Amino acid sequence: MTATAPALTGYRADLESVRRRRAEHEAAAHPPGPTTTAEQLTLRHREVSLAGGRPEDLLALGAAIDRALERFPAWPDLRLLRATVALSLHQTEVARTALAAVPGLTGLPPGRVLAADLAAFDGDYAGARKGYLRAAREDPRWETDARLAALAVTTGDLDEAEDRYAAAEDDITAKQMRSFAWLRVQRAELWHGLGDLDRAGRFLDDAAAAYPGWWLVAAHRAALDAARGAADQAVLGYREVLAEVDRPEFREALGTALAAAGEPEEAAHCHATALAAYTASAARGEVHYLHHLAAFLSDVRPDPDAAVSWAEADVGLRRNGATLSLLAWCLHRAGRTAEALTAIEAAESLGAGDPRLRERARTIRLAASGGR
Amino acid sequence: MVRPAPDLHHHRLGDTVADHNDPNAVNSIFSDVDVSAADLYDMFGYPGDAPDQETVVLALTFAPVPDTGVFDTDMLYRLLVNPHARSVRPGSEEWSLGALTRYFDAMKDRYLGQREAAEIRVTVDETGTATVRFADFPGGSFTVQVPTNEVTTVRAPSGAGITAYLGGRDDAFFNDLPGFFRSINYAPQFYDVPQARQDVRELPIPKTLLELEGNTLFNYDPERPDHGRGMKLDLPEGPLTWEGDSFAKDADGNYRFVYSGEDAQAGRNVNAIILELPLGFLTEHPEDERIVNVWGESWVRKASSKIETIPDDPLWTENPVALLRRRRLDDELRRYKLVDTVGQPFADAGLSEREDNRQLGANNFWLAPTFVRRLAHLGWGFGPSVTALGLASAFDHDDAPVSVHRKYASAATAFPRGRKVVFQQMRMPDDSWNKNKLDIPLRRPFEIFIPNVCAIDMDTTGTWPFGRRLEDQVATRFLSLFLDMEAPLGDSGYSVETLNLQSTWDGAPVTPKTPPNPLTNDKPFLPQFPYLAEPW
Repeated sequence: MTATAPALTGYRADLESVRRRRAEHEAAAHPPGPTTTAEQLTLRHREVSLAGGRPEDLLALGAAIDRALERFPAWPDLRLLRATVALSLHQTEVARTALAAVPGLTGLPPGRVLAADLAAFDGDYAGARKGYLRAAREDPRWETDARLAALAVTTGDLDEAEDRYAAAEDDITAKQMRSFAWLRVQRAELWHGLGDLDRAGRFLDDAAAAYPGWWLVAAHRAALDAARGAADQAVLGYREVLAEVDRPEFREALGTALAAAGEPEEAAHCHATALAAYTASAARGEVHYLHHLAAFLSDVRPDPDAAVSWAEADVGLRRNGATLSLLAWCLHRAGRTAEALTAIEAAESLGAGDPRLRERARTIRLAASGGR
Repeated sequence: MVRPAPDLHHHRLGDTVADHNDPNAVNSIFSDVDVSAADLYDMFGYPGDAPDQETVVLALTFAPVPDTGVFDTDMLYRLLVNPHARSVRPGSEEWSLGALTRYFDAMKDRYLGQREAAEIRVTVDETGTATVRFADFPGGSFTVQVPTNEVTTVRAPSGAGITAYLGGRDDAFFNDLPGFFRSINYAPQFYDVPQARQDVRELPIPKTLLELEGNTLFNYDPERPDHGRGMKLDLPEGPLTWEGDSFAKDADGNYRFVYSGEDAQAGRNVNAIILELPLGFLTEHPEDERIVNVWGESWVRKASSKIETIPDDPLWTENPVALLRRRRLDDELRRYKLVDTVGQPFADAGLSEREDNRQLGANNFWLAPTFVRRLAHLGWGFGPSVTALGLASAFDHDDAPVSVHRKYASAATAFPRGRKVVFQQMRMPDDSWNKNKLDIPLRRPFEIFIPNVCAIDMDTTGTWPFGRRLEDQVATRFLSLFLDMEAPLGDSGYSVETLNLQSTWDGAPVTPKTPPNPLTNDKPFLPQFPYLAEPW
């Protein structure tokens, strides 16, 4: 009797398919022209993102795109891809340069969307909204609706956010179950932030049913378990995620769950390895873990002055509601309440108002008024 | 050592690297665009030849995805049917933009009823069994299940017999599609266009039936005979325009035709929904309602209906019974997304300026000004080509010696040039189309394309534009819009078939001397249902 492996479904099948297609593309054309090169790198980006979005993989991909751009400097798809990868790594100047390299690129819908992403990174929420709305008129896509939803979360318009997410979902067909699952994760994240953990859990149930086996869903499920106080479940969940995607933020999360579950030694080990990874990244001049460093040193293993320093460094690179909010929190945890109040007001003056920022603002204002 | 308890609530995962609520993290910068079962190809419709009763043959064809004879189970197809009496239209003395506008207004009022058209709705399950729903027909509403790839006869509640075939067939469209794309300088057929540059489609080069001198982007290159016929090159840098002032000529003084007459669809299959229905099933007044409008739609299942999602509606918690009732009443279509429509051939490719109009379908009335502008734009391209070939042009191009690239911002400016193209009667080569020998007016371009339906005249053979028969060479007939149907030509004058006649080309200063498109299908059609040939 011959044992047959069960057919792959959901995430696993999708990842295999993307890998196979990339291999086919890379084997097909020698030497590839700009179209083929852009297709190959786009598939590689999809594979990297799907397989975990590890920063080291994204950095390597960014370098590969740079090499391709030496051959095809004016090919717009490559510039857009470069900007996309750069934004994933918080390299706003790299993204800005990529978008400026081809005249007229930001006048086309995909370039306009990335320019709006960049505006959001810079805290220019009105500019971002204007860009998204115009792109949505010119080229209606669910992705743009999803961006508008995320922007609405950032600016605190949660009703609009839900409406936009629902509109984005309505545009997604049964041929795009990965995208559907991703949207349900975003909605789960929104409701998690609002404290409706049951509703968040149902959204994650949907995501898991739509696209089984995805580490992204598992990671959010573990975070939800942790928030519910189900530390043991969270530990199991994060272990499952780490078996698929070894990223320091997941190690940190596992450590926090282990601590809550009464496993201090392993928790300390997880936290130490996460901190080491964050620190090493920053030492290499990378900027994508600065906010993790700040948050970790503020809340997990308190080193208030260091936390403030990392948060300030991040604000220096991208002054927006999220970075100012985190700086305010670090300042508050460092006992620098007046400065914390100034930072949170700066975030609010940009129009930021996401649930976490509001929660932090309440705490800081309470402290400033003499409460705890 | 006592550590401060981490604030679990603060540790959500929204901050993870490369997951910043960024949709690009899920698909990269560009999504895949797969060949889709939603891509509708053609809508055929004509009176059947049944000796004992009047029948209508309908055939909707679409991409054979996932395979020929295998239907995509996430798809839903609709054929919408709306019989009515012949329309009254402006007389020949009223060739004005105002008269045209009034006609469209009147038709719009009437055709808003399209939403209430009867329909045939098809879904297919994993076992290959099709569910066919007939809704709102005078002959009854009912649902049947039929096997795919077999001819089946189903019986309506009224007793009417309906013959059905749902499955794979040979593609009934025979056409030099690359030639058409060469005529409109359609870059994606010839070049790999960057995905970011979806604006690069029809390049700002004159539309033309004859190659333009120095149009290196699109002229036939003997070194690369397959360019545009499967071979694509990277889009070159530099201006994507043409600066010449004449048609290209060979050493013998002949123009080069952009068409080859070859069948680019040869050997290709489609999936199809083919039905033959009694007219009496479609209308209560078959003696009066002699025009049967039909168009097709493709819908794809929404992701949210693929799984049992949580209800977003607050009613779920506040009043679950009411919500369930409302859900039962919801149209099935709410769970699907409209992707494509088809009525008239070339209504999208030839006459619509925007590709995202494909969902408009029959309700394309608001495109009327676009229709006028687009015809004038095409006229400036094709009109001089027609004249250079020694034929009479219906478009007033001021004796331009070569095709001109000109676009219009307003229908009022465009209309005087294209008045005849819009209003002239499309003459038929003889009267065989008028099988009942009735006083049926010839059709005119404006009423052919707006609304975008296949309007079958039951007193005719249903040959285009009185419907669409399988054997009609509609691509070439479409080009005849630009011939002056009132001008003299030999013994019989111009007609929708003039450009299909080899004799037209034998005497023309052009190579190759061939009608633009093939005259017959690659496989003979069948004399009996399901009429479309067996698949390859």
